[in-house]
Amino acid sequence: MTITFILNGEDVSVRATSGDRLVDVLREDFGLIAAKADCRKGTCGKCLVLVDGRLVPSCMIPAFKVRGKEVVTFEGFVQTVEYEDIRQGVEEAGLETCGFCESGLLLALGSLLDSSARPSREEVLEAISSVQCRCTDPETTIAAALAAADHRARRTYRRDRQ
Amino acid sequence: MSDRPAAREGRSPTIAALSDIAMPGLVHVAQVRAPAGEGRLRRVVPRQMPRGYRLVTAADIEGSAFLPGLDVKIPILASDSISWIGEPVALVAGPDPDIVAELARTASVELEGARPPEAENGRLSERVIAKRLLVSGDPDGAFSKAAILIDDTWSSSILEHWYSEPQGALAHFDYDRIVIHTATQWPSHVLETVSAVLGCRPAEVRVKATRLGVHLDGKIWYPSMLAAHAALAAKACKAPARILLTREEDFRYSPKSAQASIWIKAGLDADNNPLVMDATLRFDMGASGPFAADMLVEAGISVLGAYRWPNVRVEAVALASKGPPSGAFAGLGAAGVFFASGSMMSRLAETIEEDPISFKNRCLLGRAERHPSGESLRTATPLPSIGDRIARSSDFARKHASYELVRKRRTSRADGPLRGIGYSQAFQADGMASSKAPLSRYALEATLGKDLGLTIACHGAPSRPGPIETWKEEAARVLGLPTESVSILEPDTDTAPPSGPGIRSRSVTVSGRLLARACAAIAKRRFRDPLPISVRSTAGVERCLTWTEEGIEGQPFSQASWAGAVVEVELDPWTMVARPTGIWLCIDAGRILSPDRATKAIRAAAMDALGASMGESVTFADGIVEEGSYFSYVLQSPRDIPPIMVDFIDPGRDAAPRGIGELPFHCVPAAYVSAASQAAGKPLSSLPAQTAEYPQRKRER
Ligand code: FES
Ligand code: FES
Repeated sequence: MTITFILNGEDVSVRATSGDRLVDVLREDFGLIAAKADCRKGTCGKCLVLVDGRLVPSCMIPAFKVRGKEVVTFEGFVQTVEYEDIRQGVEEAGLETCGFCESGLLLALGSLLDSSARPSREEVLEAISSVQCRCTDPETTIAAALAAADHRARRTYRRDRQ
Repeated sequence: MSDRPAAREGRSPTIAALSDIAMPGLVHVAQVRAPAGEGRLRRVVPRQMPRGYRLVTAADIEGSAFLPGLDVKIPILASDSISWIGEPVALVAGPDPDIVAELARTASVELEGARPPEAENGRLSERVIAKRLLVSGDPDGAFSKAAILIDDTWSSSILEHWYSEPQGALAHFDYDRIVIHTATQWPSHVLETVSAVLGCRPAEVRVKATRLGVHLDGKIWYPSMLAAHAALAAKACKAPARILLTREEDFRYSPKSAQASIWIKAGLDADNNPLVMDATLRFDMGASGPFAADMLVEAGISVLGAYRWPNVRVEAVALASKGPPSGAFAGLGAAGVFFASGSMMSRLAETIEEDPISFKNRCLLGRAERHPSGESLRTATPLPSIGDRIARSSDFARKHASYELVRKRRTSRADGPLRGIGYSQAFQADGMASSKAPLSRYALEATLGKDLGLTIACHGAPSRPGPIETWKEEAARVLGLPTESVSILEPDTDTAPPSGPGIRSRSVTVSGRLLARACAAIAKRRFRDPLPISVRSTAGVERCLTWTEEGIEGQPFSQASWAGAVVEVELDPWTMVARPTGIWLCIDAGRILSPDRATKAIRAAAMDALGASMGESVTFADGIVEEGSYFSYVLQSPRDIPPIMVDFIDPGRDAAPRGIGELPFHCVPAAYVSAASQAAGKPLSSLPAQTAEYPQRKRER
């Protein structure tokens, strides 16, 4: 079957079978490799993407389910101004990763800031619990999230005043 | 070959992940596994073999059929006798990964003389892989004089490495050479293995290491095995071939940590000073233990600690079982032993009603005192000052005494949560272990080019942006260059000289020294010789530790780093479920190159150590990983992690940097368990600690 959807802001079509998972289609057909296919059971968070603005594990979604929807992968997210806030927060906090779950982790933070402009520690912990990361420490990730929230608040304040 | 364009991934490493490498015509490889843990292999019969798919067996191996350079014989593919359930006996290769997996799963493996798996009774057999004994003083005589005696067995579970990316390898031909991509800690061993297995010259093999991520020392020799599998499949199919274990396969069939069971009987004299210790350390190594001898030395040193035991007897035994072979796992088994010895010391302190920190510190060896291994300590250990600092920062003495008092006065569950606090101290000896040359020789090559750019090639170079930056800054400082002019090449056997495995913080302890030495040599020649100037710097690990019939030789503490940990725990009075509320770590590891990065690394390792203390455990039944074990193996969630305070003792600029990565594994579990024991009011002696057994026992009574 042919599936048409919006991928990182562009209309795309792809042929897929009913058993194809979104993560494989993204990686194999579109070369978008930031999402990793690891546990394939929705627990590790390495394959997180945004579907219509909701954070979902792309290994658990049949590709046909995104027909007509908008999918944003980490590659798309890094082109946005919202990512710029996260990037600055990450740099300020000195959050370093080995890279395997970074896309899931940062998308989770981005999604958190969309729903809560000033997240509490607990909210950050809740958000990053969707990613099973063995190489980052939660305190640094919390610091990155709070710094990113600051950047976002400043940026939106400046934008609103203009 | 075309590596796909790397995604823009913030501050993550640029080196490719194995799963991200795409190549036209790539075939996928899956292992066909032995259904039983013994017997002789008669044949492997695939249900079908469609066009374009290949079965590869040991008969296809033209060169050596075993992994080279290890103490034990591990077959690349079993051809005769089977040693463990799940052992690879053949490979299936072909273009569709799902079909390949299906063909491998349904292939019939015919064995002679195998019992059904249900007949496997637990994991441990009595087959001894290695055994060591150390006797010093007169332990039997001393026990009769001991005023205080304790005697218990401490056990720790089998742990999963849970790598950032499961194990795998990719092989492809580049004209007349074969190129291997794999996430390995030991590229030189991969090269040696592939050339031995294919029966070709080492110059015909090139190994490019892919992104390692978190490996907990589990990617030392196993990637060589998978590289051989990928190479055999690439040769058979005349196409690039990749084997990449699924997360579940990796969990079930790749090397695990060895399981430790430690019996200790210890006695104090009439003045409550250490008098005698008798310990038997038993390790379940799985089917084989390539580092069994190293592990036993490490274990022997860890159980003795840096304490003053005038009379000791330590027996360490590595035993075989039907599980997958064991790996090094962050400290070569030292974690389980430190857990036992740390818990034993806390138990002694409790018995004589002395504060655990002051008890442990007054039992330490002083300068020039003789360690039971025969060595005299050149300098006193920093543990007393570590103990003092951590006691102050965690308010240990007050909390320990008050939690004890409060627990004794409790009348009902409604009195609120039960609390406990525990302390443990340990070290990370750098002296692993083997004096075998390939394991202990390291090399680095640095070249100052005509453009005044410095290029560093070394298999032990760091792979994360932070440590890479630290290396660049260090090299730039020595040569007076801007940091941007320093580049570190990705690990590649074509550019970096052969080296031992990147194990046990060796990128800090050995490779860091090589870097400093190479840069200093270039600095000397810089205005004398024409550019480019290349310097190769090599070193062996100094004073390897060995344990022979004569005893333990080497200096366990000459390059050791030291740590103390305090863990505070709260138990829900109704469920008895434990919740850690704080962790304090104080560390003396020489000069810390980047305190901020080191703090973060210690916190991440402390999380893992807490996971091993509280819940992580691979369970076996009938000789195979239990069905539910994979699904119930849960890493610590960030929500469950308490604040972790890290304090580094600054020894001054001239001190050499030493390893830190294993320290949390060595001291957090014992501190956690003694905190949980205090809160529960009963001694706990296994990892993960089962506090929730407590109410059940009460009910039974
Ligand atoms: S691969 Fe999708 S959650 Fe793990
Ligand atoms: S980014 Fe390294 S394990 Fe998560």
